[in-house]
Amino acid sequence: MYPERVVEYTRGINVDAAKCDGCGDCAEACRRAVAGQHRHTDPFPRIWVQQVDHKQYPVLCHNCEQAPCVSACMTGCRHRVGDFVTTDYARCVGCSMCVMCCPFGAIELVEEEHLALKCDGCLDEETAPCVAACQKGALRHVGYLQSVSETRYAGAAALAFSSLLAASKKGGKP
Amino acid sequence: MRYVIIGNSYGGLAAAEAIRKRDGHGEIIVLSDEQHPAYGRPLISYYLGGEMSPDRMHYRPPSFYRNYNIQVRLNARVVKLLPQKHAVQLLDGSLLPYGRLLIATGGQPFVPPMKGTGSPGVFTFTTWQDADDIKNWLPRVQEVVVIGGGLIGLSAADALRHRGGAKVTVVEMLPRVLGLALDEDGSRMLQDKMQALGTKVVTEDSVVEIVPGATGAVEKVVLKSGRELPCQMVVVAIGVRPNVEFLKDSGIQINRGIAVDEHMQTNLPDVYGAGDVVEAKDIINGDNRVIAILPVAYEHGLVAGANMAGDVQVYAGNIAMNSMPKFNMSVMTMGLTLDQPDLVAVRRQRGDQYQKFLFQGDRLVGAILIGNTTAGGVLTAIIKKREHLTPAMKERIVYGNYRSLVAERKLTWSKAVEVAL
Repeated sequence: MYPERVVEYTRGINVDAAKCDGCGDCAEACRRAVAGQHRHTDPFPRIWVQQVDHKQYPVLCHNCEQAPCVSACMTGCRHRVGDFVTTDYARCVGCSMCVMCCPFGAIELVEEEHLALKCDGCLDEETAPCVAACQKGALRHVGYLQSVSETRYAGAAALAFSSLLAASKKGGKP
Repeated sequence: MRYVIIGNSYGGLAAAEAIRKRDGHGEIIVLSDEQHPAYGRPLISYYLGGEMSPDRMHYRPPSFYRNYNIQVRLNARVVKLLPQKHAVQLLDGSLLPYGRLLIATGGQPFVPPMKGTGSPGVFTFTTWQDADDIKNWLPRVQEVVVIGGGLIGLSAADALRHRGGAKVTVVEMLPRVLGLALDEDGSRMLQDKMQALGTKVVTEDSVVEIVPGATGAVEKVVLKSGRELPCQMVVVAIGVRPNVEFLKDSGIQINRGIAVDEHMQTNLPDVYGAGDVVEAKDIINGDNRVIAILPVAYEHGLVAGANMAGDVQVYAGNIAMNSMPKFNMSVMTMGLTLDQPDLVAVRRQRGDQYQKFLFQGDRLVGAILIGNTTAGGVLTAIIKKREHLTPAMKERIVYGNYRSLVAERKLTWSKAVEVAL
């Protein structure tokens, strides 16, 4: 049913924003995990909590199947290693073509380092530090297919809710 | 099935990878007229600038061709396409038959007809070989003239600045540098920065003659205004044209670039095109044109390769965009960037940061980001998806708060992109 190449992607980090209280533990764990990539600058986390209207939304790399950042990479340093779109930072020059193409704004250019940094999935760890740090259950490891279906379900629910809302505003039934 | 791919760069290799994913046994032959295995082409400016060692230039690891079972033939220039014979003719006269053919020959630097372009010391700047040639010539150079203030010209100028030792002057015919991508305000900022870093810029003037000295090597250039600039090196970077000369008399349809349909197929059976050499869909105005940038070439290749292997896919189109972190200044442009009567432009300028957003009704159709390019891809995606924006969403974009739109999943594309299977 699914293409073989998708089935093999078993690393996914799924976000349940409703459970996030914005404590920032994930970001702190990430900051420690990626510190080695920073030689001239202070490390910053690849996951962050975006606050919109008093709600918390953890944001990180979506690990796209057909990843625009891979298409746009001029050095070939950004590529999919098995489960995750990862980066060979020894070859990144910080051209920021990927920053220009990432639809989620999940890649950050650091000019001083000549690097475009993003979440690379922490494949060496059995559980990614951000997931391990989250006590609220907002971050979970799931396989790619589960991640996709959950995202679709959430999208459909949001759509249904918004049409319900629109109808109730008009005073009619959905 | 034998797949022949002309071109060993982004478009060609994306296609080779896409074919191999779908056809484990077909024979894939990649032809290149260069001597190097695939390398990051835009990296030549980092290489010339001394920021990149040769061993980091390779686009794919050395094991790539073997792992994907791709035959690569270097120094193999195709001189003719023979569609009736289903074959291409190589420079050595031999014929190479194909089952399916991909033309991904990219662009060729355009050198205008003027006196002196053949003199030693005159270079173009699009290949690794060009960068090596320039490097070898540099020891005898104090002054360089770069003809053309576009992307390639500025890349060359920035690389030479990085290297140090030579004074660089950029001569641009338009009233400003990066004139096709940047508006006046943005271009002014970049130009000021260039001058502050020691690179001279001459605008609204053009080189009409390159004058060789007693040794035959270039000694100066003469400008249209009559001004003369002494120099020991000239880099011609006026522009790039689709590399289609070998397709003459093949019956293939060429406008500015090779015409392709939505499956990246040309008018000839079993012949496909990808990259800077083809005209494909531009999402903003809906027509087909050449968009000579890397991400577009790669996507062409993915779609062409899938279709060549029998997996029917449609190219969704793309937009013109570019990112140029040169002269210590990050510049990003996407979609339309110049003012038009039917567009509403919103500008924000503070210090050395400049943002401009162009709206057409409730749609975002273009943007310029200078200084702070964070999350620029969100704008690219909004433009590409022709997203309808509410006034509240527009406000968030204008105030640079576009990441919040992603976080909240306000945009329909976020799911669609994520689950593209």
